[in-house]
Amino acid sequence: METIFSKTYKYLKNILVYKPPHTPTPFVLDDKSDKTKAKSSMRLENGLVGQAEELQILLRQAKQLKEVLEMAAKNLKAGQFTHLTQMKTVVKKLAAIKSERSPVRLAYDAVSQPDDRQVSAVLAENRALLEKLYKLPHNKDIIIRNLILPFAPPIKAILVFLDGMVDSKTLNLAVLQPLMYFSPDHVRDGGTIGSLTAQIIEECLPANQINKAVDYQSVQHGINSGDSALFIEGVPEAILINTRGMVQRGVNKPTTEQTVRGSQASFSEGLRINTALIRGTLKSSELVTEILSIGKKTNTSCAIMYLESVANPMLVAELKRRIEGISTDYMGDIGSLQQFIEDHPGNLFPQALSTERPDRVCVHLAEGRVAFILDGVPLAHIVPVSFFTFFHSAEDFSFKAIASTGLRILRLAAAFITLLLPSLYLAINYFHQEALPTEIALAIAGAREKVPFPALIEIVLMEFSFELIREGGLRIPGVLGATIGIVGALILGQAAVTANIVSPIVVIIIALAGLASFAIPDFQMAMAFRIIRFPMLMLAATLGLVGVASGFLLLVLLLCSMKSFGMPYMLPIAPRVEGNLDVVVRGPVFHQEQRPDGLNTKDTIKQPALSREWLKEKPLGGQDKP
Amino acid sequence: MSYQPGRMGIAEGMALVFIILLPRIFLTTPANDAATVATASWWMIIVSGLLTILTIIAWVYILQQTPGDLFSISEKLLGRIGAWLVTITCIVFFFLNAALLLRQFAENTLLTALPQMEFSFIIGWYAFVVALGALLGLEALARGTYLLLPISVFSILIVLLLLAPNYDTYNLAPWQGYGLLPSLKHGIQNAGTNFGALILVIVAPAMQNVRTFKWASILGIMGCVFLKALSIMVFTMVFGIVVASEKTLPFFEMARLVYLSRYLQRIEALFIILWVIVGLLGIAISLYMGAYLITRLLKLPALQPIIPLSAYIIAQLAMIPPDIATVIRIDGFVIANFFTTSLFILTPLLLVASMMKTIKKGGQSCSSD
Repeated sequence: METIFSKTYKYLKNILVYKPPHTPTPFVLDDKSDKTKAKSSMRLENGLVGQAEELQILLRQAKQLKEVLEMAAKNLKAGQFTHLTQMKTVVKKLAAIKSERSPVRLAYDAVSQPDDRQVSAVLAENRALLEKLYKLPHNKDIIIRNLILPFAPPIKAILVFLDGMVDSKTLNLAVLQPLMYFSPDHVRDGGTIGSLTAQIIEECLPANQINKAVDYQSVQHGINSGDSALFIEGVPEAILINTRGMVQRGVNKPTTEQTVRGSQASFSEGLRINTALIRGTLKSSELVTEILSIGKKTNTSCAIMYLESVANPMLVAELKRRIEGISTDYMGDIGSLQQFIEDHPGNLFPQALSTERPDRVCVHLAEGRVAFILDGVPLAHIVPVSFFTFFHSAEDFSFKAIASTGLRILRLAAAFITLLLPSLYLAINYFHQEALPTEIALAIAGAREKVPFPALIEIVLMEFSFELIREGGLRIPGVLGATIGIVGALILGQAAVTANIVSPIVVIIIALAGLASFAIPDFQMAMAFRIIRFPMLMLAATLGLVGVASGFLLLVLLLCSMKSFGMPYMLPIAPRVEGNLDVVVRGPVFHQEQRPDGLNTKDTIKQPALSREWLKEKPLGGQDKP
Repeated sequence: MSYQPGRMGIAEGMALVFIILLPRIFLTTPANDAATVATASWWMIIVSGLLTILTIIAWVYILQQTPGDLFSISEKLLGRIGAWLVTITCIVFFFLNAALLLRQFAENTLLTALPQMEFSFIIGWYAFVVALGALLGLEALARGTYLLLPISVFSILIVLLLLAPNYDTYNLAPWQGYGLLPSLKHGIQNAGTNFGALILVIVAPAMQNVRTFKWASILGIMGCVFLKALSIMVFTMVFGIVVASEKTLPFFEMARLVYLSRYLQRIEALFIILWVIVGLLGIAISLYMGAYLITRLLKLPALQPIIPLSAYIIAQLAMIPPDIATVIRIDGFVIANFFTTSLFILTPLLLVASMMKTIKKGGQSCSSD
């Protein structure tokens, strides 16, 4: 019995005595113990799994046999002999299933992985395999819908699809409804196995794309891509019905390749949307789209597009050979794919042109290049390309030749400024002050007087800050990123100068070099130049202009040794081949008669020498009179 | 990894010949020539060039009769021992050329750009860069040279043009120098400077055909000889023979003399980039050719592994002479004696052997040029 004293004692005890908090036992991911456990269980399972599976298959067949026998007994007891005639087809199916159960096939099915199995004629077996493959009942994405097809006698079937990947409307109206309302009177050839699937495909399903699959790899690929798989009792194949309806981003404006003139469409995540965008721009029956599959686990689709009458067949074959030769589990990004297939994956310089614009892809396809697109990535890559291609922008094709040429020269100059300006400043500042006119030398010396660091530290500090602002600006969401970037740069630069940490000239040089790097149209190329300028800085700080010259020479030699899918990287200058008035200097569009020589295209002529045939004719309204 | 040099056209071939002959324009050679033949030095260069072109024409005949590269041609015409002797001569030439250029450019660097730098560090750095360049292959070297050549030639011409206010044409008189015959004799002796023009013979199979070889070699020699002659002519006009003979680095001194306004003066530092690039390319090509010939001679399966070793040997070789004066003396001696003698013995020897073989065969040509 509790007294006032015991209550007081408990109360005081609760207040004064320390009690450890009731926290849950922390989780530790102990991989070692798990691995051993997994290994031992796997060993145990492997010994029995084959036999168990074999027994399961036989059990399912026995159950099916039992059902048929029960149905026959029921009909006989009730004296419904007419129903027995309907059972002919059921017996035929059973005979087909029995023939499938040869000892060799049974043993193979029992030990092989679900991926390697063939579609079974037994519906229950297919269901069991699908449950195993898609980890049911844990996996909630996969839906297995039971159906009864209204044939005589009715046939069991299942429809399998991934929720979210299919269009429900299509599925209900174009698959389920026709299947469930099919009239048994129209069954042809007595509903034999061969004619059943053919009839369903030809007469029942109004879907635009239907394929048959006999193995589970194809079935999985179809289901994972958004198809619905129809399995029918007694039929050893699945019907894959196109019901794809995954929600995808529409065609938006380009974000990194914006232009004032020209098309305003950009690629999306859907592979078929992207191929359609290209086909919509390049309306030619010679445009070929080949689809390959990459990734053992993901089976990501990759489209290769080229103009059959123009592209070099060796180039197409080589690209396909490289893509088909990739052995990896997962391929989620086109950048990774590029690294898998390019000639120099260790080199910073890009060897494929990455673009988000369908119009740009079409220009290159028309020249004889090949494009590849990966499912789920809003970019296309074009090969082969030369160094100078990365200094072209989509707008160049819209502008007049002189304007385009001027812009390209400006971009090349920007690349040189990005690469060399900080290094040249450092080299001259450290070793060759005599190269500067006296006034400038004095101005620089005056500005640097209060700075407590050597010029190298100054430059590295500013370069680091600039890269930090750039990277930070990218990660900050929305429009805030750009604003914070500008404000950050202004404040940091101003504060650094006021605090005498860096001199104003260094701020100018780094700002110029940074700005110039953004003038390079291709992000990968700009990145390469930005990274290489750091070793150039080190060379300049160590060996002055000698170091800069050595670094520059090595860079040029490296570029000259590179190839993009067999085509020299510095084409058409080194090696010297015929240009097509579209390298750095861009000629008038009506004078660009030939395709790039280095591509060795099937058809080298793009247009006749006199492409403006109207010049040969008399003007419609008569000639101007003086 | 193959030792095959790749495929080259007229442009790449011309660039290779041009760049292997050009580096001495930045060294003391023009001042030495001015000291030896005085005002005749500019046309003496042309005489040497013409003789080299004659040699190339002889090689065109040899290649038409006996297709192949230097080693295989020598093997067919002179036998195995003859081929070994010819190839070893060329290996010695290229390695010696590389070592002499390496030392002189390193000394130039110390004199003009980095006076406080450790000498062996500069030699080591240059050897490292040329080894990397050679590792990238002859195709890359040729293409890189072709890419940089217009910039280099344009820069040299700009310096020569900016010196226009200092031209004194009287300094070119008398045009015979110290006499016509001594000048001609020196021109012939000096032809060894152009021994490197035989580079395309060594990699002849990489050229598309004999015509490509002929025009690439001739255009390369003509272009380089013209530039060298023009440079020495301007050098003589600007400084006069007496002063010119005393200059250690003629091109550097010329660039230093440029003064057009207070904003365009003392541009010599900027031209360091130019001569470093030209010098390194010349050394890298010499190194590559030496290593290539070793590979051919010993029938090695790959070229790349011996390049770092060759670069190390060349760097060590370059550091042997005690001072720059000795190096310049050795350079002059080697050119006048070893290079010129080799050029004028090897080519006629192989030409005669080829002619004899053709006569024996009944004048049948082997080439499909």
